[in-house]
Amino acid sequence: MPILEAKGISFGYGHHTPFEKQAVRNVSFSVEKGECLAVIGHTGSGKSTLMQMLNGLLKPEEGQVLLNGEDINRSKKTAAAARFRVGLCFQYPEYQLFGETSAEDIAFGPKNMGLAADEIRRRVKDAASIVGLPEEKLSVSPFDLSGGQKRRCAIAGVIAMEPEILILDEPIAGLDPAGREEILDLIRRYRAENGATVIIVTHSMETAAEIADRVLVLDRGSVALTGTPAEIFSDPEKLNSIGLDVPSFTRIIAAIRKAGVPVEDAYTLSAAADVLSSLWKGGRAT
Amino acid sequence: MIKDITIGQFFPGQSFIHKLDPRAKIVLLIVYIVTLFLCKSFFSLALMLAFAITAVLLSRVSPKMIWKSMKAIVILLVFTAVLQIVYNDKGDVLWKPFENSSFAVTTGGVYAAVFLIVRICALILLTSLLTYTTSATLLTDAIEKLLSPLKLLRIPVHSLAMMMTIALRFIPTLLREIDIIMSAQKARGAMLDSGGLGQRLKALTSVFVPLLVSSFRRAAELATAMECRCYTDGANRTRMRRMRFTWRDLVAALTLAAFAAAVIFTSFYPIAQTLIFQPVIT
Amino acid sequence: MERKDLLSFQQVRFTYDEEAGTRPALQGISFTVKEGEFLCMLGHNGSGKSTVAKLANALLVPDSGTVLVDGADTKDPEKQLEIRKTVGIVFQNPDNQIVASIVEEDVAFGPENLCLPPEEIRRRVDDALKAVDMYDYRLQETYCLSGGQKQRVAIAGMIAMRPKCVIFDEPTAMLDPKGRRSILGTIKALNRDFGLTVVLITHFMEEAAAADRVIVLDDGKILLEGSPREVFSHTDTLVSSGLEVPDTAKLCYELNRRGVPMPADVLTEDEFTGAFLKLLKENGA
Repeated sequence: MPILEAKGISFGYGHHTPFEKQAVRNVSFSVEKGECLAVIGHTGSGKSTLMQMLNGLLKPEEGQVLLNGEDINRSKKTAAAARFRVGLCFQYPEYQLFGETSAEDIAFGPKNMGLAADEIRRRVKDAASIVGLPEEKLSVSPFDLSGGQKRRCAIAGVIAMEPEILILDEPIAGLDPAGREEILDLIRRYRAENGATVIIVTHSMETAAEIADRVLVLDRGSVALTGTPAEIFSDPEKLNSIGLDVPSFTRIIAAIRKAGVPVEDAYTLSAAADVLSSLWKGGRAT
Repeated sequence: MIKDITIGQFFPGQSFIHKLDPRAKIVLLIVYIVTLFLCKSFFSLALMLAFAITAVLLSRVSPKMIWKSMKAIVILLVFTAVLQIVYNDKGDVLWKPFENSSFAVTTGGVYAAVFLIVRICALILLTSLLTYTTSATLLTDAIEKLLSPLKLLRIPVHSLAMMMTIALRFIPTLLREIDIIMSAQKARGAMLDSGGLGQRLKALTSVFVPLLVSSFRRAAELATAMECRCYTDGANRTRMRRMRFTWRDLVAALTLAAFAAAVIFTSFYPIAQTLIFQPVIT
Repeated sequence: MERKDLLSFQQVRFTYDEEAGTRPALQGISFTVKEGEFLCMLGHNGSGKSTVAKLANALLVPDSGTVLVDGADTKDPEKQLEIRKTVGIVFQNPDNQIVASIVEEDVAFGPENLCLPPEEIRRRVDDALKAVDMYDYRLQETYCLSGGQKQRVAIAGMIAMRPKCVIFDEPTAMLDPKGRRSILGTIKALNRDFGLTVVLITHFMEEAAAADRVIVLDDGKILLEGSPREVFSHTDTLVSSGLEVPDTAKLCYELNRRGVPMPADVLTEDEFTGAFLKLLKENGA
């Protein structure tokens, strides 16, 4: 049984006004335990609305969200509990920091869960170590952290709830390459250590290629494509038609193949470098 | 939901109402409101309501949007109506629910309640029409012009108007921001709409602090951007749009004057009152 | 034809908070921008590149050294207004630089501050909106627009003041790839079709490919300067200074590390494919 399943969910804003908008339309998909799913789509594709339905913040107007096979909207209580079981970290989460100290900010979620003080302390410490926030930074104001640290502190605030599924909405937006690599490392580490289920919302194909087991492409509120990164990127025309690019490595490999050189598929930097270098070395051997 | 708020929204258009001079619109609205409070009879009130409805129809703003702005005040209307019915004991007794108490529903109470509801509806109708058909900048420009005599008293009219423009411009931005922050904190279990007072206060801090921090950042960035665009004290700024009174403003003013005259006549001359309708004194 | 210097930085030093003993944001940098040029200034967060924008517009004045804008010294308070008319800045967050609720009213804000007559303002607003392809949106509320559209309104608001030079301070950092492409296209067109002098400040190296000249800042100093091709060939220097290197350059670098002698100066995917196929041929023959 999948850990999380969306069954034909829809949601719209501003009904009966000129600004009416159907944000999500009849979306179905499932996530297996331990999997990393990337949800791709450009701004306005309904990504954020979809994510808020997965953790019970928004109630689908149609369809169901099943967590371990049970509808999270059975009752108000289960919907509220779903927020802790499906941890959702919003875009630019550093703009939501408010605690006097980083530790207090990270503890906000666990406190709302009504946990004991000891347990909260343990979770804050664990979450901080997962995101790589140095211990001495826990006692300083989150506003005194560097840009990248602020983002990691905010993510720790969600991880500290120890959710069964972690959803990160555009976790690398607005970061420079070093900051981005830190966040991607953090996600890899979190998955490796906890066998955690992660959903990443992004508009970067490169990020999806690097980190996801499976990709879901959203277009104007509906599922346009779904599959492994290899499957998704093997159809560049389809992606282009919805205004998305395949990673440039995929394009380069495709161009080389088009020139008559048989070459394996690759869609990440290291894979492409491996494929091309072995091709070149192979050529030299003959 | 915060996203559904429509007050202060502007619907661009080319209608008769859109083309009125914003200064004229503001002055006419004030005259209208004063007249509305001079109404003493249902007949005069009906006249004023007819005026408001005609204006709405002329503006071609969708009735749905008008209804939305009214919906927001339904609770207020019901509340005042109930108060009137409970506390007004003039006129004939219609219903006396409790044998021993003096409480009774009277004709005076019901009349007063209906009167009040119609009056508030007409008021909201025309006020929201002003913001629906006039952009925020034009509105503040007009207010600045109308208040310009105050400059003689050394009141910084321009700066106040500029502040208003910016405030209006940032309302939707801040509402959206509040919405996002609230959702994000709710995702961490913040008790924003449940829980005890202490929990709610704590949860409010989690919304208020980030909002304050971002507002200061926005203010600083906006100030820099304005400086970059050569804004100084703004005293000598020119305007892209010249405001001119046209025949439309004259027509609107004369029409309102006619309605106001009718209201005053029917409300204050006893003969007209007995001829047309029984007055309702609240 | 010799073009004159529109912008000139001479040994400019600047520190934000002198007392706190912080490192200087700029440590004595010198460069010039010629009229009609498209200069790209690259640097990671905190390299001092945004300070350059504010110094060029007299929002800040240097601690030592000189900044000349069309011959006027930014230290001279009398010249400040003239300098701001000559050099405009478009900032990162479009939401925080739009003053009015309606598109055309916001674009009119700058010209209104210049105290121009209404007819002239109307003409400039219309021209500016057409130049950034936002004319059809002139009566829309700014808050209903997408990020890319808002940024184009901000650009229109700047060029309606008819500056000679516009500095774009990370104008695409908050946009998605689609918005980013549209803004870059707009900037290139303004430079090419209207002869606008452009300084584009960014940490995306890909955006630098279209520039005439690239300056790389690191720790308040100029690290590299030259044509995009020259600068891009120093991949390792760029990576170690925390810059966003284009994917083709990254792949070249990785291949070099694996012993494949790819040339260092390929810019585009086509050039990469061509160079790699050539290597294969030399090998396989």
